[in-house]
Amino acid sequence: MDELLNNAPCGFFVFDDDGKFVEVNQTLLNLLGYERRELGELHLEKFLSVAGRIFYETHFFPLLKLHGKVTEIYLSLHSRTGEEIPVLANAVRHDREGVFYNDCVVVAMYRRNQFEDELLKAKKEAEAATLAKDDFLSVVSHELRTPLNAILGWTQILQGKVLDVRTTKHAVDIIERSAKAQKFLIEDILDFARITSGKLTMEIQRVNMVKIIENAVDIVAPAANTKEIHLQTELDSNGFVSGDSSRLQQVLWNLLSNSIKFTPNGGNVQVKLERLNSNIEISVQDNGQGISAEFLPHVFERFRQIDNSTTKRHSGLGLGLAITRHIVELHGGTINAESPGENLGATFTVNLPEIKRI
Amino acid sequence: MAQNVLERNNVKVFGNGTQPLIFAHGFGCGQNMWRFMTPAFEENYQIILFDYVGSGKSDIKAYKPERYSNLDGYARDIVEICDALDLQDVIFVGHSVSSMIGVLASIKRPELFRELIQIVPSPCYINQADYLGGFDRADIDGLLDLMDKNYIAWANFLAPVIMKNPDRPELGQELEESFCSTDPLIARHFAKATFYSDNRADLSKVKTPSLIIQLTDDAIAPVAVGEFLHKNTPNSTLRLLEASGHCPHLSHPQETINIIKDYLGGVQT
Repeated sequence: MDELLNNAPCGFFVFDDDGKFVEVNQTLLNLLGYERRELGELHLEKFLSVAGRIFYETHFFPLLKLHGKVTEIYLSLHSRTGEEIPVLANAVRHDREGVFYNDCVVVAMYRRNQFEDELLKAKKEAEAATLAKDDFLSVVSHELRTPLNAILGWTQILQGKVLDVRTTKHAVDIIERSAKAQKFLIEDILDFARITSGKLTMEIQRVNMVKIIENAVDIVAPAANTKEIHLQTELDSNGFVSGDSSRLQQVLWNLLSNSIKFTPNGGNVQVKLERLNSNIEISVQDNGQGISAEFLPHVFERFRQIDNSTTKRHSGLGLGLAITRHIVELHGGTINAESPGENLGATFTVNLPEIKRI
Repeated sequence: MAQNVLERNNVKVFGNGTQPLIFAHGFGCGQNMWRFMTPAFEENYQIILFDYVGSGKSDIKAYKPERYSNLDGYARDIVEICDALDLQDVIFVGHSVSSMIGVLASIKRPELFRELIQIVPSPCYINQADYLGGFDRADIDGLLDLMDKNYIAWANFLAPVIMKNPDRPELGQELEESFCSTDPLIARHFAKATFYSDNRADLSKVKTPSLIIQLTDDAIAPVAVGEFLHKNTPNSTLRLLEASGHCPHLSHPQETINIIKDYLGGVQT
């Protein structure tokens, strides 16, 4: 091998159809950590990962043999010390005195490899996000249509004939309830849009979280009563934070109504407020259907819902927790979810920085 | 229907003999991989070549993810091709994963097959508690990553170009010629169907005589796998070929031809 090729700024080797090295340049020996005298022992398989070996046998070699060349194939080589070396390989076949050999050039591509990994990852995430958005849109349409159908249906009945007082009241109640349900959904969507565009505004003042919790409990109490859920509170005497009271109200309302929604009839929901190390810790614990270990890490992600079967059993957009986390974080706080598993209940814990009473 | 199948699987029939000899390609390739083998059989056999749906020049529109999510769907391709050509007593030659596809097809319709010639087969690629397949699941995930990386140019950047340039079919052809697959997603599915398959329990159901060709130093199917197959497949013959790699029909075509001819000569007399 001439000096030029031997020290060229790329790896070069010649191998036979069995993968045995016939020639190798110094650059590649240096890259892989081998000596020239070891040439007789060098075999392509030695430098390929298991996955790389399968890829070589199913793609690289057939292609090289059938087309006489391969270009820009990505492989990951293993050096003597076990270091992974991502390379791009080009190879051509040559007939030398009746025997075919494969000439191969490899260029290490550490940084490009990293960029490509990031590109691939970003692409997969973008595809997943698009899918999730499509799903979300269909959930939104479904959720908005359900109360609308009730409103339209009862309006038609009211227009059609004169009903007795009791039925009329029932109709109006349903229309009102459906309109309110729709209003909540639309508010969630608007909040979410504000969050995404960074336009969620807050009116900051001193807020007593004990009062906020008591208000939220009052609001959800009728829903808890309907399901005969035992709603308990264990609150410290006070706990002040700096924040937007209606947004904090929304956080508590979201957590409590979530717990009530996912707890079967006759279950328990407990709200606690404790003052711990300059923090206000609020926890909402239930003994409801819990969260699987698989879904737990995604519970606060936007456009995520447990699964379709759950979506069918429980209405809602699945935006509530994403909005909740965002509001908590805007207040400099944290929120986390814990669950020992499905049907074993769940605990949501919010930590907010406490401000001392002046 | 018959014509559809022949077009769908890009079936090619040639040769001067009457005994049907069907060559089934493995994962990652198409029928063109048999081109070093077929000339040796043209004189005395009716040779049938094809591409599985999703590989080579098959009709990609016929690809159904559910059907091809496991090897059974591929076995149906074989049976449908045999029926479309009205074949019987077929000698089936399968490379790698196609060996098991042939096994499944022969269990479905034993009367169609006379011999199963399995080149570097494996009934299960992943190591199990009492079985050494050669790979762990993480290795197969690594393969899928490698495929993603290598298909990236085609899948992410070239594919839209193909779609936007229907008047430039050479762009699609280039892709087909490079990895024998027109669609990276299909290649991924085929990889999963191949390497996550476990057909060990099917071996005892094989009624067709089999020749198992194993390499002494195979990169994918260890020698122990060949021995396992031989032990568990009724009426099977194991032949070891002194070679490394996983594509003896490409790297050692003459030796592979000799083993097959020798076996067929033996069983024919």
